[in-house]
Amino acid sequence: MKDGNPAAGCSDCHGNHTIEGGEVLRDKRKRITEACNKCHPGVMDKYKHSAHGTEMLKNNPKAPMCMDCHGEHDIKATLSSDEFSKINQVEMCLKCHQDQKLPHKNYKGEEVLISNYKDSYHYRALKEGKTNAATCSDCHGSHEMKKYDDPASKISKQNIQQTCGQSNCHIKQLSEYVGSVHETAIREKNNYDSPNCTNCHGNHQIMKNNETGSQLSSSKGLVQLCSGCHNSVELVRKYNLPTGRINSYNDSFHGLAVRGGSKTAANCESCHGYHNVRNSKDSTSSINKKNLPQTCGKCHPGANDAFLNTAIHVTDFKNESPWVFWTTRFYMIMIIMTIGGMILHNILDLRKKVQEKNAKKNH
Amino acid sequence: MSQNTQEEKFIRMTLNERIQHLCLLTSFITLVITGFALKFPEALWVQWSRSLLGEGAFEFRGILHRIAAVVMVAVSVYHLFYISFTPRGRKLVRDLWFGLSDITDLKNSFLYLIGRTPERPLFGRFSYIEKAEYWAVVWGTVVMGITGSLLWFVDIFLPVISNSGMEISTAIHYYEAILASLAILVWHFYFIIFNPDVYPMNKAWITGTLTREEMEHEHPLELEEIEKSRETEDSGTAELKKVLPEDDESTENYES
Repeated sequence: MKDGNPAAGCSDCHGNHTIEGGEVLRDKRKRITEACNKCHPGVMDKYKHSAHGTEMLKNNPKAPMCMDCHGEHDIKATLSSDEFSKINQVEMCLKCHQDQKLPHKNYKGEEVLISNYKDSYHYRALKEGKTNAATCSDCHGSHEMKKYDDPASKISKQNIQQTCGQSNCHIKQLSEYVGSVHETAIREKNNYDSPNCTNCHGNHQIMKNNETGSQLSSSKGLVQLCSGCHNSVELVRKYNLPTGRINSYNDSFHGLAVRGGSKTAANCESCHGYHNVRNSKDSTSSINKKNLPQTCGKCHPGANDAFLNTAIHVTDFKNESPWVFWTTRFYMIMIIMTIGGMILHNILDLRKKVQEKNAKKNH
Repeated sequence: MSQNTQEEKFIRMTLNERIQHLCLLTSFITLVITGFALKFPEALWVQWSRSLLGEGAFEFRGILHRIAAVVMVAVSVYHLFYISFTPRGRKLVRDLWFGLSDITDLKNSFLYLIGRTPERPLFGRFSYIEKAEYWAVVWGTVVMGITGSLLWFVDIFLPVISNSGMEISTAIHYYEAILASLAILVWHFYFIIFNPDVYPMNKAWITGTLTREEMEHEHPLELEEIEKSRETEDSGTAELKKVLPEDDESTENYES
């Protein structure tokens, strides 16, 4: 009972004259939804449009209904209930969504299993008592959970950044990300290959950036991550991305150092930033000509206009870096001629001396 | 076959010179290994060294490379003093100086090697072979030293030579390294190791001396000069000593 207003009484769910119980009752889904709907219409509306609700309306026996999460007779107020604490509700969802029980599809449409949330930093933080960390309902919603490919879903390609950046969570990161070349591509060009939060950070198994399980914990991992798109022939072609970025980086001193195990040499985000990646023509971009002295100056103090006279990622040496091109060519010719001449000379020398030795033997 | 138990030895490299050479060779090998480890980080031997050295492997490589570079430059600077301010050093450069006669020697060598002429050209203290080695090292050290310094002290030189200057320095540094390494392998190592006349190895870099037979075979003109100067000494012409480097230098060319 609730301040004089009748909350659900026995007959609201069980009916009056034709009292049904147990399994028969479960089958009468409409009865249940109407019963709860009498007092909780807003929530019911959300639920009916959610993936759970639509499955329930299709008579899917696995689909959860109100009492599967909230209980039957001993319904407690959610906000004060221990069962719905951020860390305990995880067990509730995992009852169905763990391991083999119910796969889900990722953004590529592949079926994956949601077994890794418990390895995530979010879950570990909750266990340590940091109650602002994300639990299932923070990202998926409590009644409105929809599938990834539903445009209205909190975790859709268009929406997930708002979900991660909701108040009390990653607001700063969201403000950095909005307006970036990646975010703009998703929002304005419907480019669903462009990366948002989960593409780089993962989703259920999110680790802190400095944990070894995260691809972002090492320079090598980071370069691999960016290479996934920026070194993909298919994607570079599809979106007309600048070519040869990763190869030119890998051939540069920074790239060689990172490949060699350096932890301090520049990687992609050292110059391009991470959330706020922008085109070099954008005046706020870290790689805009005006801003390069500051960006490069992070590691190389005092280098100012020095950087402005040549491209950093050089793919066409003959046209972009002709001095390097012709120096290389000169040396190639020198090496072939000099070493070639030396080899020829010495082969002849060896041959002559062997001949002489044999001649001596035969006398 | 040597019958004499006390075989006559001729000085090829003094102890000073052998030490210079040793410093040069150790620094060179270190530079080559640590240098190419940077350029080929996925090579098997580089991966092994990383697993052996652990976390700071890359930084260690860099420090070792720079230490070896300093050693090489130091030896080179010392050598500059040596060839400027010591009599033996001055004679060394004089004898190493190349001219038209060396081109002629090269030509005659080729003709002999392909069987066109029956006679081997005769060489003095340094043949065109050794002169080429010496001046190649001089060239290489200067080029690598300059480009290496530009790359090492990037924060000082970047504003001066700009990013494209750095790129050019990197290209030169890399290709000159290839040229130098190959020249040592193909030229120097042939003549001191694989050359049938000296195989398994010419030991002059350790012992400092050559036998009479080696002198006859490789430096006959020098041997002639030495014997001539012995004769004139014996005949008591003190003047002749002034022609050769001062004091006991004349006896430096040989010892019994």
